[in-house]
Amino acid sequence: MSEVRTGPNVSTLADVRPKVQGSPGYMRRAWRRLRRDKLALAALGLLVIIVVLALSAPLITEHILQTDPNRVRLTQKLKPPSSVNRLGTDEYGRDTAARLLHAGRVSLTFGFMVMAIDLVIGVALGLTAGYFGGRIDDAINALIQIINNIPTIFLLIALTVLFRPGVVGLAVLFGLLGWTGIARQVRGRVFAERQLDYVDAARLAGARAPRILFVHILPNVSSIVLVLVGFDIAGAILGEAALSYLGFGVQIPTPSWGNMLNNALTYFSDAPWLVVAPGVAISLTLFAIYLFNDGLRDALDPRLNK
Amino acid sequence: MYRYLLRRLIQSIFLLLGISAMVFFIMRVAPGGPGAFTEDPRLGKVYQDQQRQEFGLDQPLPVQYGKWLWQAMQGNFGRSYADKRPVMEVIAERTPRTLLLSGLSLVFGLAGIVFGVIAALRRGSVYDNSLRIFTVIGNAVPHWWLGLIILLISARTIKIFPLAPPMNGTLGAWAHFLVLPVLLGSLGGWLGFSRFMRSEMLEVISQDYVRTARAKGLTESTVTYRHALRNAMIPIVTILGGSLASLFSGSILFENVFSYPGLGKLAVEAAFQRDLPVTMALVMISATLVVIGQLIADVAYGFVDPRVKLS
Repeated sequence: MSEVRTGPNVSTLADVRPKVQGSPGYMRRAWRRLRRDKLALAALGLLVIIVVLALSAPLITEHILQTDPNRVRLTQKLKPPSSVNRLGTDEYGRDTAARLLHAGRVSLTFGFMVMAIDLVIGVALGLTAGYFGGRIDDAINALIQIINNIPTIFLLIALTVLFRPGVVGLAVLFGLLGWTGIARQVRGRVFAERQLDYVDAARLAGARAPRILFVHILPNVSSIVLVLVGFDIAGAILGEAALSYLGFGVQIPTPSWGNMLNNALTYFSDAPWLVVAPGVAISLTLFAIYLFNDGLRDALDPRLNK
Repeated sequence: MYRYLLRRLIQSIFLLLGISAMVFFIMRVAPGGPGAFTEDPRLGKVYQDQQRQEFGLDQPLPVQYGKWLWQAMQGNFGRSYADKRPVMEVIAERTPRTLLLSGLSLVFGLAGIVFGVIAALRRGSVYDNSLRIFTVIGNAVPHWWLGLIILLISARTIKIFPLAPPMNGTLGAWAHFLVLPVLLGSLGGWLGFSRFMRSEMLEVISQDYVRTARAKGLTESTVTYRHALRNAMIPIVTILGGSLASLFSGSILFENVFSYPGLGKLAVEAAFQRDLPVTMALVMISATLVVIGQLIADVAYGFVDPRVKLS
């Protein structure tokens, strides 16, 4: 399993560290495979464009669209798309394009926050359960089972009403209920990894559990984690959209793709552009993530490429 | 076998206890939880206390949990805060509607199995590739938003689909209304089942016993349907077990998009009104169904696939 490093790289003694599968060599090979996958690269390109557009929302709205997402112009309300308002205006005459960009920033940031929380909890508990096994594993597994069997959406709509969370609070709620997928996958992988010789070798060399887990085992389970990260972000964006559409979730005046849709319902037949724009944004983002993720999975694990 | 069943049953009971305790305490600890309505300063102190007492909110938490659990196990989830009717009565009223919508969606969704099998048999064909593109796009587009768009188009052009369920409508009007929600509900099944069956079928077809069957000179259709398909269908049992709960929880989103007065709409209304007994009942009933569904799926798996030994 472990790769012996050869060649000019190994020159000094300080450089001779235990090398495992997750060394740059493995990642570099994966990257090489990914680069040949035109579809995945196109998806990555689309994703980068979406993220850049969302992150630079304030700049774009100020300098290019020359408006403000919250500028109310009651004379201009519910105007269809035109050369001034490329995506039309809403019931307060606010520019839909500007709001869409700002909402994108909220929705994407939300996705990343949820992913970060899921990642930290999921990886930590997955590693712990898989490595130590026994009682610890039983306890973590019970927790995973409990959370997995709770109908999340029922619970989330109730909790958002009770806690009235902001965007960050909502991300925490999503995160606390959403880490089990990552934890299960990591746990399963660690079960397999801990039997391998390199773990015994590390243990014999005197490494303690945290070092073995994070320095030796984690790089070897990182490929599965990388793939799950994408699905996690996509799931969070979709979840936020659904919850906010129902009127829970991110609350106005903070725009998000979901609550833009909720708001659009009131002007359903007068202003169809309000319904179309956020949905297209959500779909394009998810499409890019799924497509890229498929390529990434194939690149990271060529054996799966059937 | 019985031992396995017993062990899984006991496990399931503990699981449900864990879920109920967790959900109960989260709800009670939350700010603005039950009792929040009694803290309204406009209410007189006497009235507040009276209300708290009536709903048993003046007792310590574990006692409240114990009482709630004991009642819940007997199918009594208390009274709705909103209209003071028994929770189960409110839920029972809505359940048939949700069962109808999600049941039909599930049944039509099973067509995905056929789509997937055809894709596997014609691997690499135009059909297979278009199904693949359809799957990627279908997964990216939120189905409830697609529902909104179709409603929008229908409302602005020829009105093919009604915007809301008919009031006291005839059977025909209801059937007409249900077409779109059921189609969209089936979409999930088509996407999920077809992808699952495609990979499952490909996996089975590449196995030795299928080659043996071909080598014996069996016709291709016998090999495909009697040998390969039957084995490829086995894991569907697991998925169907998981669907039991979704029959009940249905789709919150579809019901709200189409203003369909089922349990999903009830869940949203209850949350807005902070009607916690109703929310708790919905959470617990669907959690119970999830657990039972899994149990059934696990046991059924042993019956369908003799290679699996339940022990």
